Amino acid sequence: MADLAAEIKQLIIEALDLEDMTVEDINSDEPLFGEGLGLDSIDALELGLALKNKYQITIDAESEDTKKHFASVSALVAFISENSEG
Amino acid sequence: MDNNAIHLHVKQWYAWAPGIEGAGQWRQWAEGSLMPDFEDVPALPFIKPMLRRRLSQLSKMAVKVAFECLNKENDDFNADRTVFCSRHGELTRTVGLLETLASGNELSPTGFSLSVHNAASGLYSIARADTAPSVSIAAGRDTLIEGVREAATLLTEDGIHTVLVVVADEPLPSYLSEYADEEQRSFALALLLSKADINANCSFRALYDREKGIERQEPQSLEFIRFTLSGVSSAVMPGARCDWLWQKDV
Repeated sequence: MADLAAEIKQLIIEALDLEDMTVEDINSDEPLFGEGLGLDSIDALELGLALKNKYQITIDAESEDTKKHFASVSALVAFISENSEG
Repeated sequence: MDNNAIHLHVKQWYAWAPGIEGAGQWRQWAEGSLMPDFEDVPALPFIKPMLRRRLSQLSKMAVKVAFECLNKENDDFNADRTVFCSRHGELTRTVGLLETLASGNELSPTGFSLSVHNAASGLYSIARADTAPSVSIAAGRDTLIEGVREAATLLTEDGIHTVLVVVADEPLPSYLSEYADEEQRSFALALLLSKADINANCSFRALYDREKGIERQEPQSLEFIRFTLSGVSSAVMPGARCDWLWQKDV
């Protein structure tokens, strides 16, 4: 799980061009959007695409659950562990 | 005053190219040194990292010269209008998107949203919190000329005292390089213009009889910098359909 969290953090940094950030700078339980890391709606789309390409998961943009899955790195780890085909 | 010419008052100017920054280095370049040929990224300390990461190399160059030029007045100074000019705009980003499509992958939402011609203008306005109306122009080889002509027209309005003109371009992506009809250079130039009625310091007008023997085919913005820094009082600049005569008003 710790490995998957680090992997997702690295993916976030690369997909969203967070040039000055390292994996250590992202707290697994902090909010990704708004407060915390401070990502915005276009980051949500970009991150969704990156996760889809890497883990072959389907993300439903209309679903309320999607917001929960994208709340933090920990939430993404849980979501990907359940849904990843790999 | 030449009544057939458009007169300008260049209040401030600032230019950036890879390896060339500041009046001293531009003067060296204008005196005949070749343009350095290496990659370089403009420093943008005045833009927050979360916004800065969204800027392409082209937008970084455009926003860099816009801020530096305005900051010569003062850090809070904004022009009444802005005119952002680029011959090819975000073509590097667009070609990247087309490559993604060609390989059957989904487009990057960020890349797509910032591939438009007014990306630099929009990112500048957010970074500077500048709500002034802005125009984005592409005009082939006459991109500088049409940008300053637009600015000169805006300046004829009563309430408009200053217009910021920004020109930025990059070399064409390799797929398209066979279509190049001028030297391929990375550069950005910002001109802060104010009303020219009493204190014009330069002017330009069309020369419909093309002058023979102009061999330099530099982008007009680089020709303009060369002219500004030189001791000469007039210079002929090649354009898309005619040549242009620039003169210093004294």
